[in-house]
Amino acid sequence: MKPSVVVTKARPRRTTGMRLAKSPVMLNWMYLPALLLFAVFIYYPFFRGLLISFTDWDGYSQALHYIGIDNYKRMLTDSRVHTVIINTLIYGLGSTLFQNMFGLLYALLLNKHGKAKTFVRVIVYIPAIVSPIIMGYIWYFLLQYNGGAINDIIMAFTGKPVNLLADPKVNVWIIMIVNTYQFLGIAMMIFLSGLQGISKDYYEAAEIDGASPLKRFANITFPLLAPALTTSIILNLIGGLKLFDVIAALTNGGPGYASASLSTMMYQLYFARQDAGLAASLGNLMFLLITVISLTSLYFLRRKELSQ
Amino acid sequence: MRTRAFWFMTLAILIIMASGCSSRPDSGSTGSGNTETGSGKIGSGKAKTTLSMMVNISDESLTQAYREIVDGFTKENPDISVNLQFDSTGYENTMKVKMAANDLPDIFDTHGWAKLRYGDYLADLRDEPWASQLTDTIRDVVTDKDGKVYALVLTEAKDGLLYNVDMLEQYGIQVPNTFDELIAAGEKIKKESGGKTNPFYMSGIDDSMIGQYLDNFANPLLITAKNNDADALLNGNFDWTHITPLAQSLVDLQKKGLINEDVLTAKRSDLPAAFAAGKVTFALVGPAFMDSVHAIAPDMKIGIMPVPSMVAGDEPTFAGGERNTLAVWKDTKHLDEAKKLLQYFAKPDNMAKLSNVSKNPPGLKDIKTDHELTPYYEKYANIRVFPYFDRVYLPNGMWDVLCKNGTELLAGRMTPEQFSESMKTEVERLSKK
Repeated sequence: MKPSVVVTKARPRRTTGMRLAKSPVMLNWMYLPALLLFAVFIYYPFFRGLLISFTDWDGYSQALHYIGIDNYKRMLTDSRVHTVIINTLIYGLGSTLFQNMFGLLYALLLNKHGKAKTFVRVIVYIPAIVSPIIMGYIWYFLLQYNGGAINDIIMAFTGKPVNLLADPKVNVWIIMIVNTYQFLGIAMMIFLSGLQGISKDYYEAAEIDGASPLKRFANITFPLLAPALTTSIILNLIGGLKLFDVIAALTNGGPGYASASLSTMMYQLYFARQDAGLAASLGNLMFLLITVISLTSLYFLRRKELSQ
Repeated sequence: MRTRAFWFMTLAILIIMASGCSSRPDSGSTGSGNTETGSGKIGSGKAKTTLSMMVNISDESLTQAYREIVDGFTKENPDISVNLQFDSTGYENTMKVKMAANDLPDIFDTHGWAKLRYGDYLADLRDEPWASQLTDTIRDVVTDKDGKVYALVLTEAKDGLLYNVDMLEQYGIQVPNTFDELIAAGEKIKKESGGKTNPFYMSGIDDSMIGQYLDNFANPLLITAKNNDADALLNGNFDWTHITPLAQSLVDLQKKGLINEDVLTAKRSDLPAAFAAGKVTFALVGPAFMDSVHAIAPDMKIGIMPVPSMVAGDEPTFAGGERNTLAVWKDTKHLDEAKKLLQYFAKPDNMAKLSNVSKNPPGLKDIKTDHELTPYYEKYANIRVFPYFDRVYLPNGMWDVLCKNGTELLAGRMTPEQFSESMKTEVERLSKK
């Protein structure tokens, strides 16, 4: 009879450090630095901005003079602010619509096997890694009145250049298109990752049942892409509603405030016009606008996801 | 896989650390600095005191002149080093943020706003040896009614219109004395150049050029003539319809085709190339732009003329004010050292050097200069100099209104009458503060 050998695992000795690390009190202390950073860089500026919106502060003096809700009254009655709100909505909603539309289209096309697949993906994504201000300048040089490539093409047909960036009926849409072009690669990548998570079994089963490609898209692809769609829409909405750099490079919000967004107008009011109170009111309006639009979209998109 | 990820992360962290370290403005010791902007610390590594200094320029030759002067100072005073920072595009905004935080550099440029904007933050320099030497045209600009001197004016602005001397000679045009003569000259140049030259260049994107036009011509319209609106503007009972002709003049320039067609989308940075190519005759900018023109067309002769009169019987004038200045923060811990550095800048050789490089008149008396515009400043020595219109007659914050409203005029989104109405409203709003 062989002697039986019982091997027992030695229990690791629990050190004081390990005990502390597992203690709930200690774990609570761990998130304090993050909370502190949030308080200093997010909450304090937010509440300070709220406070400033009730003053006529010039943006640099030491004293604050309270004027009640005058800035909000001015904001609601100023026709330039109305134009800027409409522009902001065009940048936010328009970019979101087109970025998702084209992003999804590219994702569907590039999700299949093909020799140029990776190359095209990179080409579509590259604009997203370029700084928005640089992208704005690139498009400025393409669109500029004297010597712009696009104007040279227009001149070849009409014999006369067109000042596309000077017309508020046109330049707002150009800005929206440039923003769409720059960031549709991100939407494409989100959709691509969503598409790659869908099991091929669904498509095989649908094919056996004789479902057409359109029906497969409508009943399999689109519903299962809902979480990706939610992410993409929310990201695009927030980015579009906060649009700044491209506008600064292409038109600087002009002529006047004709192509300005809430972000660029806020910046100009604060620094150039020394109207920090009104700028803060606009900041709060922008916060409200982004919160309401994003949360409403999130609510409906989540409901759609759950109903699938 | 984990090893690859580890090395990737390590590399990324190292790159971030390296880029972070390289962007620290104060990282270097003697003579270190940012080669692109010319910013950096100057002085001995053994210095006991470091002065922080911020200047509102980016022009390479001028930054070099500042560095040379500071270098001379630190060699003479090895116990003091100077952290010299240059900026132009973001200077104004940076300073506003610093004022809000009440944390300013020891010495800084007040770029036209010594009294109105920075006044509460500045030390009184009235007892400095150079204070009595401030020129007659600049003394009141940087001195208040109690005698407080706010800044050392290294160079002062004497703004009129810079013009292409050869082009006026080519078309046989005398320097215009009145606004009507200026328009006539412009029309002649436009016609005889076959439309190749648009006499004036403005930028709607960098709309300060449009604001500059309105500000420079507001003086001849409202201030410099015998019967003027100066008192009414100061007393707050100005009839704002009187400013409508100024707005109308800008619209007329555009209607007559005398401004660049792409005015709303042109950029200020394109002006030197257009000027050098003979596409522009008159420029409403400071002399700093001349170096950019000469980089393209070294032999082009550029002159300066006073702002033509707009009222019958009046004479041309210059618009004046601070250009390059140095002031001392009142709460600095190194007041004596800062004053010492200003005294060094105020030496005649240094003043002349800055004046010659920037092509602006010096802010102190009896400084001999020799640059391209010297003959013009001598020729027009007796021409009256009036302070910038907005600094005296408009409340702080109106500059942007001028710029934006001017752009709206040119875009056809505002009439001259609406311009005047908007000016009235904004002045009333800002005056209440």
